[in-house]
Amino acid sequence: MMKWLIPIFVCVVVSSAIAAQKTYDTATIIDIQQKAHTRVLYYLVNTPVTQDDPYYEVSVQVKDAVFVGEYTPRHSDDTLPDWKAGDKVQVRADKHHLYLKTPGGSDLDLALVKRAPAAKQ
Amino acid sequence: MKQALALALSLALTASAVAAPAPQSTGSTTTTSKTSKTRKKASSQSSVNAQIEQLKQAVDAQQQQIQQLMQEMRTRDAALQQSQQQAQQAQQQLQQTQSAASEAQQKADAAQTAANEQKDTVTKLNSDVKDVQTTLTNTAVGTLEEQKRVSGLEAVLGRFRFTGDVRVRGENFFQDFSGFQDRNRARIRVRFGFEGKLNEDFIGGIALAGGSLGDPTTTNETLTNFFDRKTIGLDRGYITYHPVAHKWVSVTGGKFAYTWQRTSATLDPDLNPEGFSEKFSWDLKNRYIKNVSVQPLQLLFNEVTSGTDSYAIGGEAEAKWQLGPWTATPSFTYLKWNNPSSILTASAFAVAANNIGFTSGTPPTTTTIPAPGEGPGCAKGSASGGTGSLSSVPPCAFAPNGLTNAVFLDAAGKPHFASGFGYADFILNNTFKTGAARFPVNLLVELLDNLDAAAHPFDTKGNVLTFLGSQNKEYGTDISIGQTKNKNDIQVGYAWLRQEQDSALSSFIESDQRAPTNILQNRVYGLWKVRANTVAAFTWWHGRTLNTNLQNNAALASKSISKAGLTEPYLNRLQFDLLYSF
Repeated sequence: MMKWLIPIFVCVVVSSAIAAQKTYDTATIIDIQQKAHTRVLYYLVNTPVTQDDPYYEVSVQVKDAVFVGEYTPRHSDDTLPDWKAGDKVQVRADKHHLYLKTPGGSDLDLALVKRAPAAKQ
Repeated sequence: MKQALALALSLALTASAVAAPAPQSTGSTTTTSKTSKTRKKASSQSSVNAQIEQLKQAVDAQQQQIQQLMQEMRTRDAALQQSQQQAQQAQQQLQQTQSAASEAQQKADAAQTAANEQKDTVTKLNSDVKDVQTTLTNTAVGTLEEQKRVSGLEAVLGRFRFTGDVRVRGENFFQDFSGFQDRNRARIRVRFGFEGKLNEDFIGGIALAGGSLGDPTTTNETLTNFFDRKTIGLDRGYITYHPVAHKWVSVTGGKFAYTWQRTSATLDPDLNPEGFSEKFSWDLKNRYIKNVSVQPLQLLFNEVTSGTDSYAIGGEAEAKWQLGPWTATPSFTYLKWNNPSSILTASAFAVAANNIGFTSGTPPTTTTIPAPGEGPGCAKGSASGGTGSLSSVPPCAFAPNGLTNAVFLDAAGKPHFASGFGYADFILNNTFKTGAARFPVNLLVELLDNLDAAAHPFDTKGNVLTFLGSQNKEYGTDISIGQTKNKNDIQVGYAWLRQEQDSALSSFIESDQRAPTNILQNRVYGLWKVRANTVAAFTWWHGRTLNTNLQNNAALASKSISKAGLTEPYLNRLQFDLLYSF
């Protein structure tokens, strides 16, 4: 029994390790926009006093697909790298996240909000 | 050598002297014989001469020999001198060579020393370089670790958002009737909380706030009580499930901020309801309708160990549409309050009672004992039937801003609201963009209908006023221009409210208006966002009791009128606020 279990276990571990490897694709940045979510701080009776919480909406094209991700800065000094439309960037996407590799080598975690086929030219 | 030559020369001279005749002995023989002597003298003269000549020759020869010897000596001396000079030169050369060798040796030693020193230096440098490399490596590793830590910390802290505000308020009350004393007070409001993403799908939050524990409608603390510390209580504590995979779902449980559209005509903005809310919201790609949502609500406000709990169940349907510069958010809410009468028999803890006591005897009399509660304590009020009044000691009515609803006592003397409460609340919140982005026009209109209100109200003596219909409506509007979003934004507005007696439960309504219900209220306000996080505000509340013929009206309670039916003079309340938020 054990002689069967061990190879199976090894196969499972190896396949898991291979699956866990992060593979990146080269993408082209299509658009970057700074937007804001308006948040109500408090009410003066029925009048809301609000504040804009900025976020970035980044669109990238990978092959025939366009991914749109939202990045919400964690503080006022937290900004995107100096990217602009047309720049190449390494990306990987899972079900709900879009990871963009920064020039520093770290991953920027964006919430994936849209996934659509690229417009045909 | 010189000595040997000198000795040889002396010997030669001595030998020559011995070989020649001595002149003294030749003179003594001359006296005996003159002739012979003359002959002899002539022959001897020639012999002497010959001998002299020989001697001369010998001397000359000797001299020549001497000369030769001397010449040889000179030659030898010269040679000797030359040899000596050569020897000296050689000696000098040797010395020079030795000196040079010594110097070279010294240099070699110095060079060796220098080389050794250089070697040591190089070794040290190598060691230093290794140290530096090690240090740099350690630093780099440390920096990376620190970066990881900082990133980790940033990621952890980035999950949290701190919220809160501090408000300082100056407040004045004026009302034009005899016996009214102007009231001036200063208040502070402090709230602090944070909200964090527990994981991708869950958000949790906690908030603390000041204010009386017995009043959920305000978090203000009046600057009084001999510099006592102020009370802090749990203002919010909730978890929201908002899955990434289904962003249209948002389920919240706990004590939380309003998740639905409402106004202060039903629930004070400082109150945080308790219970559950499930919001299902869909963003649409329609040209005009941008979003629709539905939201069931379950609000729990009194749980008892045995008996009937009190809770409100309902829901809201909401939409958002956009037509050019007009954005509107219409909503309809229905909220059914079950067993609200528990509000009239609240515990001493719930009302933060500053009096406790008991009722006994026939007729019943109440004995009151002071208690260290912060208040507001039992709400005073009259009731139809029975004793005609509500208990002044717990269990008693919970209405921090005054009980203004109609109440009756059943046969057992237990208080009940005359009306049931089932809010049908329609709100239309509009924003019209103008040419100036900072000055949109905002218009809010509200119609509230309590579908479970009694058909007729009570008068001040507890009698049913059959000529009056149900006091179940609230109409309100609020119009303003401007916004308070960015620094130096200004917003000014006016609000009007007509709220009938049983349109809503008086226990939870706006705390700053003339009274919770049965009022006609005007409000003028202005806000200026002085800084990105600081707002200065002014509010002028101008209101009066709507119908002074009704039971539990505020005018009679505050004695601003002498008898029922009179029109109450307006109560003016001025508020000057400075708010700092983060």
